[in-house]
Amino acid sequence: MRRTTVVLADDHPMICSALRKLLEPACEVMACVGDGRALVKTAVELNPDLVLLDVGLPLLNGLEAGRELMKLMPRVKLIFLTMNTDPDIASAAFRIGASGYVLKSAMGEELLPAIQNAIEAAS
Amino acid sequence: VWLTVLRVLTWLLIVPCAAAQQNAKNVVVLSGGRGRVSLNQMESSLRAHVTFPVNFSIVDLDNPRFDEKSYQDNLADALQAAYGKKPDLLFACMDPSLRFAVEYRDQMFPGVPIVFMSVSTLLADTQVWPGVTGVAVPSGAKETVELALRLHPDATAVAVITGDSENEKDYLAAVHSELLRHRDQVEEIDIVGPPSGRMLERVAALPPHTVALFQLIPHDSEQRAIEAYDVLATVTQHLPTYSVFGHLAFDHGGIGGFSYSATDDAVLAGEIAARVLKGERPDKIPILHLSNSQNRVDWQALRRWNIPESALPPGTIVVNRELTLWQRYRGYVLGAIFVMVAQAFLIAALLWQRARKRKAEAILRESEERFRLLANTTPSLIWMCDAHGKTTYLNERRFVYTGSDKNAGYGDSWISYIHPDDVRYVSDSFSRSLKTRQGYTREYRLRRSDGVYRWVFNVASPRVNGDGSFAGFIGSIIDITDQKLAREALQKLSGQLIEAQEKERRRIARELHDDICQRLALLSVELGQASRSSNGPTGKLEEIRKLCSEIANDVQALSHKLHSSKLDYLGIAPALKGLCEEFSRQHEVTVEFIERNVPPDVPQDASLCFFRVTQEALRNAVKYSRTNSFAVELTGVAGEVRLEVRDWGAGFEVQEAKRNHGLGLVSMRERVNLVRGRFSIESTPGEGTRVIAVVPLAAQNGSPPEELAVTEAASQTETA
Repeated sequence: MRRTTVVLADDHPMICSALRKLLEPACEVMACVGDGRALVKTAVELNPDLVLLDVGLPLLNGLEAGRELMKLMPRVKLIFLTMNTDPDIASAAFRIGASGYVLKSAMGEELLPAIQNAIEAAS
Repeated sequence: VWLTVLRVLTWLLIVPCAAAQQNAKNVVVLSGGRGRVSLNQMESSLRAHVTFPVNFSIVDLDNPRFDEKSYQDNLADALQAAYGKKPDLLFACMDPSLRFAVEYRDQMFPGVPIVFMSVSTLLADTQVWPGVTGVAVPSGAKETVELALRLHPDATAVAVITGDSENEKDYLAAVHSELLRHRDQVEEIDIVGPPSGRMLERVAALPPHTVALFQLIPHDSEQRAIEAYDVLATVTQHLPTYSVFGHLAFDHGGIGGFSYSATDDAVLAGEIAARVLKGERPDKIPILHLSNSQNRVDWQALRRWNIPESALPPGTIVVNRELTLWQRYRGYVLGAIFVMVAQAFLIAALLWQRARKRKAEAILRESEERFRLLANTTPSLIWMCDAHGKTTYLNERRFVYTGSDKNAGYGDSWISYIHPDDVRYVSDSFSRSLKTRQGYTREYRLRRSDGVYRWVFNVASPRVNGDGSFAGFIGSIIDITDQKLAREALQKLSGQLIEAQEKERRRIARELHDDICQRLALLSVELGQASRSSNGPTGKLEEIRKLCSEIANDVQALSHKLHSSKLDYLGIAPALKGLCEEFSRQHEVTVEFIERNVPPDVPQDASLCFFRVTQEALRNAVKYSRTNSFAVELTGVAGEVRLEVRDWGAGFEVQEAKRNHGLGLVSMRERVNLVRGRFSIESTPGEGTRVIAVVPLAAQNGSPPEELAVTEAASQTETA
């Protein structure tokens, strides 16, 4: 089985590298970008199975970038990984078609299962 | 004889009027040559004293023929024939008439009473006739002779010139007896006879120092070559002439003589006639002697014969006195004096008027001077216009300000100094003010001498003429550019302050959230992995991880408090909704949020403004309203978004609040101003509070501040 391809979007290089380490065994991290615009551009180019993104991104915030991506590539899976615990934002994320909303403080336990669920739901 | 008949016929023509009145008394008047004036006086005196009507028949007797017996007979017959019924009274004037009346009465009208006037005492006092009475006048012989001799003490002779009628003879006799008493002093020369050439010769031959006494009675009907008046003229030419008939001397060159009051004579005789007509018996009425008679002399004749007035006996009346200059020109002199006095008054009044005018002018000049001094030393630009809006005055500072041209700015040319963008507003509002004639204030841009347009503030007041009519405006202009710039700078600064604060908050929030939080999150992840992989004391690690997670949540909350991430990610409506829920939770109150037609693209700064205003308003409401129920309403209406935060609590005095703890209010207002919105607070003690902010969507970031300042200024001054 082919490894799931992932594009990461977080403006913190530390988070990016931590995520790479966390995901590498199960997924193939194709790129890691630092802002919303770069995310849309890169994701369209690389066409990953899944995009893992933060809500708070420079230039174009996560919600906007996610909405854009869902328009351009409806098959892609979106999982938000954020520190924002606001339920309104979470529901906004699901309204635009996110497959998951994981808090960063809990990503050690919850992120991989969330990815798993998203991919399985697709196939 | 035929002449006599003709005369009788003449007076018979008068008779018919006598028959006209039936119950009237009839009086036949023998005029005897007496003038009409005297007869009329007598007649009106008579009528005044009786109640019944009286008819007068006047018979003019021809005196010179009176001595002819045949004439008298004829006359008597004619009168008797004319008055078949006899008259009630026969009235005789002068001596000859009386003589005739008494002689023929029994023949003509037996028993008819006779009343006379102007009859001399020479006749009246000589005998008593039955049924006869009247007024007797003095003969004047004594008085005239004494007057003549007194005024001519050096006279040696007195020539008496007289006629030969019975009457004249009486007078001659009277004079003669007087002169007899002076025979030692003067010689008497009698020249008697009808007027004739011989008489004139005798007069001319009279020696010097002779005084003439002229008593030749002239008769109208005389048909002689030489008349009495010719003799009189010759006599007065040669000699100082006197006459017992005083009136003869006057007007013919004589000096004077005796005379009596003809009016008294006529009036008294009229009264006596009235008494007789009323039935009184004439015999019971004594003859009345006229008492107030005196000598009269002619002033001019006195001068001619060099007789001083002082020589006149007391009581002498001087007639024909030449008027003195004063008497002659009194009217002119008085007129001239009046004119001069009037002129003097006029001149005095004019001088006074001129002095007053000068004084008024001086005061006016001083006042004008004062005004100019004031106008030119004041820091303002002063202007004046007439009722049609034409500029008529500009002070010096105005010329210094706008340039060196001394004529520019008068009339309508001031318009050319106004900024092209303001011209329309200024001229329109100026013509409105000319109509309303009310004072006004205006702000606009005026070109300075260096070509720079400066903001100015113009205050104008209406001027009023003396009669209360509108005279135009007077105004003063001050340069407010620096104030305006300062105000704008201040506004900008407060905006910048708010922006800076927001920026800083956001930066800190982001720092906390994006950096600290992430790292804490990461730390907790690491700790999680470590606790799973190691065989050490996992319980302890787990504890540390939880602690770490809690810190991350707290920092996250702090970040949220500083700046709502929801506002950034979800927009104003969800952010406000969230704020309200959070607020309800935190303060245990009810905050209802209502959202209507809010457009999705509310700009970020407007959103932040609404968010902060809501935060501040709710904080105030919780603090002061003393209730726990609030409402926040966000509505989109016609290009604007309106926020209303209200409570139904205690309310407050808005002015009071502004003075005391107004910082919150000020910051809300500043925020709304910053996004070009309108802000208001409505509150009444006891009835709650409404905080309203309305922000336009379209005008965002539109016009530059300069342009906006113009419209603001215009609207401000219009409402002011």
